[in-house]
Amino acid sequence: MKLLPLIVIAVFTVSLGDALLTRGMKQVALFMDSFNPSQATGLSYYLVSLVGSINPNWASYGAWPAVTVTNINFLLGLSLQMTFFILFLTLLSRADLSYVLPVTSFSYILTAILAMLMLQEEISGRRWFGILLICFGVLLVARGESRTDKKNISNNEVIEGITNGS
Amino acid sequence: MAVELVKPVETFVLIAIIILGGSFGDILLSRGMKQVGEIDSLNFRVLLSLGKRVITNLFVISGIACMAVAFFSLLTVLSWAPISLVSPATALSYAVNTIGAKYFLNEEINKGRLIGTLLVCLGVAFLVI
Repeated sequence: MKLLPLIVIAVFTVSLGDALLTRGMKQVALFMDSFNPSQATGLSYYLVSLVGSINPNWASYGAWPAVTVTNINFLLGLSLQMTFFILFLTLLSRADLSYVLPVTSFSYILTAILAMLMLQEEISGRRWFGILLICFGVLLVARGESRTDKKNISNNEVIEGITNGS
Repeated sequence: MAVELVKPVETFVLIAIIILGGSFGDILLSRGMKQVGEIDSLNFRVLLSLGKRVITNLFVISGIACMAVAFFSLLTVLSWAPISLVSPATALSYAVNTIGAKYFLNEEINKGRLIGTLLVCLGVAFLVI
């Protein structure tokens, strides 16, 4: 697989993951605002009684983890974040760190656009200016070589290096 | 700044830990992944054995540990400091990362990469401030 599609997939994954996590956590907060501990069922009920037995005033906080891990947006967002980390490691195995980091920062832009579309967030003029600067920066970095030591390191040499203990 | 900071010394130290921990974590991850070798196959068994090499690589493990320290420092500092002060730290880490990549990973930072990274740095600061 070439580097560019990998970068594009990684950027989409992390941006969508961020947006879904935000949506999930906002839903959790909204739900908890009108949550009545006496109506808890299932896992929430168990956690509410557990926390409530320590201090009755804290009872409703017991439902937080249960409500969070059963939120579909949170779960999808978390899996996308984990996918991104694997893709990020794959990119690092094939390109310079000083190339991968600026180039994947393109996700800031996509996150802003997704926040506008999915979360109805407003983006100020100053933020658009920041986005424009990141775009230019990413273009400048992406135009250059992706790896300094492309010719020096091959898979076999690295494995030899490890087995020789160097 | 008009807003008075609650614990200036602690805040400064923790922000430094966030930036350095995150950058050092990235550098260690990069170093580890270069040792593992290029992941360039879609064959399941090859990927499985590469995955095993990734999670047993000492650099990768230390990199993840560094990032965990940075993450928990972030949670701690956010308990008293405003996010608008803390998150520009993420912008500064692009610069620290590039310097680290040059000296610890011997990566060649040419003019395009340097200016591009600085622009990203500045752009992220505009986004989060």
